[in-house]
Amino acid sequence: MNLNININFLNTLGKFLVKAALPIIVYLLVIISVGSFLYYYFNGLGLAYNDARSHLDIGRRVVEGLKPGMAQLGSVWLPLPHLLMVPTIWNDFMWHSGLAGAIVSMISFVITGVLIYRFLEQIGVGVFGRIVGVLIFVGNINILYLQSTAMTELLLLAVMTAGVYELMLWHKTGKVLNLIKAAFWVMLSTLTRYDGWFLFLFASALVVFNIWRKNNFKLDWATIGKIEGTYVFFATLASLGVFIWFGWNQLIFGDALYFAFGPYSAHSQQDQLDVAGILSTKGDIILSTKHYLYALVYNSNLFLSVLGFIGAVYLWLDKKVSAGIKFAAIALTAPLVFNIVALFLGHSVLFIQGVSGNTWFNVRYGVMMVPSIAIFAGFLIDRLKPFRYMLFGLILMVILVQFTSYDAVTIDDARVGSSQKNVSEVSNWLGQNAKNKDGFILISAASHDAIIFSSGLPMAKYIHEGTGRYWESATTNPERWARWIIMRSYDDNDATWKTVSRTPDIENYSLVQKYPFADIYELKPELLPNLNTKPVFGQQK
Amino acid sequence: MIKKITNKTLNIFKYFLISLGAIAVLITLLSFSIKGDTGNPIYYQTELDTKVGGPFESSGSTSRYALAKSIVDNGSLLFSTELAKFASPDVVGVNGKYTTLFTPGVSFAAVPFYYLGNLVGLPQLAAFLSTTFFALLNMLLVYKVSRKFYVSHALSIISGLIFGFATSATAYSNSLTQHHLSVTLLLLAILNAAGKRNFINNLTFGLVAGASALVDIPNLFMTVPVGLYILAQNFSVSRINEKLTLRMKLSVVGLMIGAIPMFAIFGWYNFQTTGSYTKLAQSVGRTDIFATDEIKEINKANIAKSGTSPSVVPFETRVQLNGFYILLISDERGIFYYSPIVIFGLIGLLLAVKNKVKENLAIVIISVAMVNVVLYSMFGDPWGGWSFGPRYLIPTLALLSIGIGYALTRSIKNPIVILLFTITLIYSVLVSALGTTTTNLIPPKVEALNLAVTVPYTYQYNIQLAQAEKAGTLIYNLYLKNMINVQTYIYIYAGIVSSLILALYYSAVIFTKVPANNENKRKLLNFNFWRKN
Repeated sequence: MNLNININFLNTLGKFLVKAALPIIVYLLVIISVGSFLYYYFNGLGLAYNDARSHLDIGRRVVEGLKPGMAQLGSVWLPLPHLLMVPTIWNDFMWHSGLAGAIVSMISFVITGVLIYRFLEQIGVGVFGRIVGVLIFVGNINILYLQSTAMTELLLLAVMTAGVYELMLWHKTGKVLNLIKAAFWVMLSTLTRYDGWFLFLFASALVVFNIWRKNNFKLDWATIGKIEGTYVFFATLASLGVFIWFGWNQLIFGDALYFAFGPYSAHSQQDQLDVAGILSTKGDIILSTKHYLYALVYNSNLFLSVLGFIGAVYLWLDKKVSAGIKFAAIALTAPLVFNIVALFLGHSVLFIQGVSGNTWFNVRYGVMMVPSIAIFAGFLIDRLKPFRYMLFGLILMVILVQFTSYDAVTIDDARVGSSQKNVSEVSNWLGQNAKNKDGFILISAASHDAIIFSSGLPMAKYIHEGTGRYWESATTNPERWARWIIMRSYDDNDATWKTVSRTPDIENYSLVQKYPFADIYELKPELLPNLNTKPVFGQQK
Repeated sequence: MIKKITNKTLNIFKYFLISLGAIAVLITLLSFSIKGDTGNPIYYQTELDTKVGGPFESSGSTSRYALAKSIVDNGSLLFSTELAKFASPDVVGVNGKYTTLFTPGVSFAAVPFYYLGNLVGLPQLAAFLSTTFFALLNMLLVYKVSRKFYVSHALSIISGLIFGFATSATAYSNSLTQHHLSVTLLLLAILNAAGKRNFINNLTFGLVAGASALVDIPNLFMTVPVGLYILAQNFSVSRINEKLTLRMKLSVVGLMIGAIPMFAIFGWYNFQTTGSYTKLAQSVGRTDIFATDEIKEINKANIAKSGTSPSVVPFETRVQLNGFYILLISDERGIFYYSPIVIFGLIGLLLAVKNKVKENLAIVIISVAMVNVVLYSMFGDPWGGWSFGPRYLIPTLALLSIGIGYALTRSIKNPIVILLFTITLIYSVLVSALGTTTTNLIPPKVEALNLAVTVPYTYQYNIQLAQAEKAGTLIYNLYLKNMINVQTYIYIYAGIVSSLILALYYSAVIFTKVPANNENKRKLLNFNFWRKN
């Protein structure tokens, strides 16, 4: 049986497909992104992470509440993800469906996929290798889940990958525009998660090294001047986010390092874990490395991680790849180094089931290396021509099994791990009993943001730490301001309990429900006539 | 003319005698792996005793034996209650009827052996010899595929012998499990792929692929790389001026036609056992009706635990880290811990790809091995229950053994390679002999440490059994028990096997002439020199 094809037609078709590959990939990424969001929206897992609900609440408080405004961005989490929610979070559906946050993740997902394709293209990988690289990223069920939620990981992946991509282009071409773009993306990453701060340091070192290398490692004043000039040029923009954050903390909280050492900081949480003796990775580099590698493997799959590792070695040993690209590619390992160092220093915590007890916590951090693995594996596929189809088949098999076995460690992290708390009992009670009654609910957003979100009540119904004079008044004279109080009794980590329990007014409340994560107190009926039920303070600064 | 004919006849006669002698040696050596004990005259022929060290120690064998026995004795694919108890826990219950959990290929292959053995009162011995027969065939097939890489007879024979006697496959060469028959079918498929593409070869591949599914479902995954390669070989592209012609051989339909009968048999078998043409007994799951109360409780707990997982296949990526560790490097089942000799094979196959010597064939072989390793790394029980060595990787052991001959050819006079080969060979043969002589039932670490009386979870357990004078081999128990102890027997057996392989190897090292000048060295690299051997 013969099929005759005109060779010119084939050439034209080939050229068209190569040209159209990126638009087709973008189209497919959008379809997959929307499909994944709908899947997790309808099965109710889209908001499984309590952190996702907290992120949405932060965004919502900027536009709605007793004291709306930019100050609601808070001090613990970096502001970019919440700022990007602002254009849509005002809409109740966008807020409660999680779409206001997920849409940022979804766009980031598409951008990261495109960046992986472009990165591989720029380092001389053929179309097949590029497509496999994108497939490894897109075929990761943890990525698909996180891009369907209001979490911040996908946004970070997008801005970090963009930063590293532009940095690689600068190493390759030496064009200053690429350095500016790299600085811009690194700056955005420093406003997304603290991983970005490490990328800034990592990228800074690479910029300095690259200039020094291009000047043949001379140590004369002319070289030092060039290094200084280029670095200042890069760092001015790249570090802007860091300085904005210092300034913000100084302005709002009176302490430039409030985010780092404040009562709600990760450092403060880690200190408590340390005291409890469960911060095992602190000061132990082997254990820190082991924990992060486990998280990486559980998120990225062992086989694909091994392929990525071999691909990285192959890239750094490949004589056809320029030295500049090799050095720039080191930046792809920044998340690996950052996470291990953060665990070692005790700034981060990671629980792996079977390694550190029987629970998961923050295991999603392992997802940070997925784009890097995709790029390195795509490179390997391109270079190992004889084994190209074998590896492609094995990748497909592993991805297929990942889906059929529903292996999403991030969902386990959200559903059964320490990230999850069953707040539905409290929020359901509020939804049923407080919805149609006048009066405010006093609650600590730092401790119970997930309850605020899940109750379905408007933000303006709540008095929390970010409501200024309402909070000050309600925690000193609760009976005048709070019809209901939600707090963890006898736990001074709960800011509401810490203050309200020391006031005589607490006697005027009845404990109406006791739940594992919070208790509900209600003002005694005879005191209702004296209760303020309207926002009387007007516009606050 | 007469002289020519006489020489030719003599040569044929010489090769015939050598082949006959070689097969006789292999059969003799393999006979030491036959499990059994003294009885009347031989135990286990009528006694369905599942004690450790005997042929029925593993339910993987008993359940398959029960099916062969049921087919011959009762003319049924379903078990009587007595047989179901014997085959438990690998029994499936559908509407009060019991059948084996496994696919029926191994039992079907054992049926003629069982039937003939039954006629002379040795049904177990004969049925289990079916696997021994396939083990013998596998050594010949490894030799045959190794020859495709222009490797000399001697070094190709070494490849075959290593698979047969220096890997954990040896311990399974007298068990009624899927491993050796699967290897036979995979090697036949690979040999088929190396041949010309015509209707008969395509038909044969279809038959082999279909039969492999009857033997064990994962074989289907392992035949995929071979199938894709064969499919591609049925297409050709040629260019004339501005026209590109894509040709497809009509004989490609042979692939499908060949597979149909086997899948039809499978469908019929499923219908008889589960009531559905497409429902596998494995998908129904084990019945615990014959299990002890303790086992029933454990099963209940497991069901409750796994009830949260919507997994539809027995493979999970989550367990891959553990799977790779267990199958590749652990002291429990690690392939390189039990049979380090196959490292030479891996190097050999990679060298073949690098040197473009039968590059495509080498890639197909590596692909099948990779599918085997990656697939079972995702299997919930990479240990293969209580077993000896990485039993799920027996196909990989065979495939890597193929490359050993090529690796040795490439470094025929290298003293470091000679030393390393000698050491790893002796170690691998000894470990393999331990399993063959004592038991295949070594618990996984997690179970071994929780037993009432803890036992080692490595081949240390086999050493303990040998020290306790517990042997499972029939020949030792029948004839040698009163003459030598088990340890001495193992040393003698391993010594004979190692000596045979090393004698062949050293002969090849001594008698192979490596050309001195550059031109001939180039020829050596291109293997024109070796082609003549």
